[in-house]
Amino acid sequence: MQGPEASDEDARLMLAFAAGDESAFDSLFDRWSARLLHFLERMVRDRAVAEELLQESFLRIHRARDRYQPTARFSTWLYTIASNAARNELRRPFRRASHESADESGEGAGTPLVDASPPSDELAAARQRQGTLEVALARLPERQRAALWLAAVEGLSYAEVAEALDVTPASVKSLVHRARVALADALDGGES
Amino acid sequence: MSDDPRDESQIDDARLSAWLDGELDEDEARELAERVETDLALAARLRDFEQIDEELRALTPDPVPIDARDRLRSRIVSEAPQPAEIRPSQAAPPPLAAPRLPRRVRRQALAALAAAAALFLYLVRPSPEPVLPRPGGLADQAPPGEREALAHRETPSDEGTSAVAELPLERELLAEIDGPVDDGELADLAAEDLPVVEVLDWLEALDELDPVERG
Repeated sequence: MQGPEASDEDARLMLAFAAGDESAFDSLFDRWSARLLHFLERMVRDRAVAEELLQESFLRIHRARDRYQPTARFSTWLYTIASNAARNELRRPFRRASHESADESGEGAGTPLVDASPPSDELAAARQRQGTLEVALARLPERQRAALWLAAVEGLSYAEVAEALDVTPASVKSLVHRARVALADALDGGES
Repeated sequence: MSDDPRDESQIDDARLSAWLDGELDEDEARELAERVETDLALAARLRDFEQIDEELRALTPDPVPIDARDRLRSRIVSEAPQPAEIRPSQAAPPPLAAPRLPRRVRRQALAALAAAAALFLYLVRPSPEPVLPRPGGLADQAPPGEREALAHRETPSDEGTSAVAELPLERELLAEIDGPVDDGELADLAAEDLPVVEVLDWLEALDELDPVERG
C-alpha cells in the first residue's frame, strides 16, 4: 500500500534521475517493477505481453524525465502510463481474439484453476476459490478490473484512479462497486 | 429517495464499497458504521467485500524476470541518439564529402547536389525553369524561384560547405523532419494517451515529406 514515505521517496528518486542520476532510475525500477508487472498481467492476461508493457512503461518514464513535476504521486503517474499501455494493447486488432477467448473461457488467466492433488479438502477448497476469483477477475470489463485493482490492491484513492484511467472519481466509485459485486456473485455462485 | 428496497440495497452496496476504500465523507461513514452494527445483511455484505479485497491482495505475483532491468537498459542505450547525428542547426555545415545529416536526408541531399552539379556543367545560360533530370527530388517540389537557385548554385566543394542546408526549401523540410520527432515529443504523445496507432500514423505522416525514403 502507498504511504507518504513511499511517495516522498519516489519523488526524490525521480527528481534525482531527472537531474542525471541513472542509479535513481534503477532504484525506481526495483521498487515498482513487481507491482507494475502484476497489475499489467491482470490487465492484459498474458505474461509475455505484460513483461513487454513493463519495459514500455519504464521507457516512457525514462524519456519523460526532463518534464517530470512532482505535482501528483509518482505511483499515479506510473499507473497512468501503464494503464494507457495496457489499454492500447487490448485494443490492438490482432490481439483482440486471444483476449476475447480468455473472456469466454476463463483460460489465459495465467494460473492453474485447481491443483490436481490437493493435500487436504480445506486447501483444495481454498485453491478452488482462488481459481474462481482469478477467472472472475479476468472476465471483468477492462475498466472495472483496472479500477478495482488500483483501488483495492494498490491503494490508490478514487481521485488517483480517476487520473490514471482518465475517468471521473464518480465513475471510479461505480466501477469499483460493480467489480466487487461481480466478483462476489461469481464466488457465491462457485460455492453454492 | 425511492421507496423501492432494491434501490436502497444497491445504494447501501455502493456506499459499503466506497466506505471500504475510505471514500465516504465523515457523516456518511459514521451513519453507515452505525447501520452495519445493527443490520446483519449489511454486515455480511461488507465482510464479502473485505474478503474479496484480501484475496485479491493475496494473489501471488509471478517474479519479475532477473534480466528485466538489463533488457530495459539495453533498450535505453539503443534509443540514445548517436553522436554522429548532428542537426544542421547545431553544427557548422559539414564538408560535402561527409554530410552529418540523418541518413535519409543525407541521401536526398547528395542526390540533389549531384544533379545540380551536373546541370551546372551542362547548362551555362540562366533559365527561369530549368529541366532537372533527377529522381523525385526536392527541386521538383520547389517553387520556381528556388528551382532556379538549385539549378545555378556553384559547386560547393571549393568552400567546403554543403549547399543543401543553405537552400530555404531544404531547411524547411529538414526542420519539419528533424524538429518534432524527438524522444521528448514521443513521451508527450504517450503521456497524452494517444493510442499507439495514432502515434505511428503521425510519424508516418511526417515520413510522407520524404517519399524517396518510403519502401
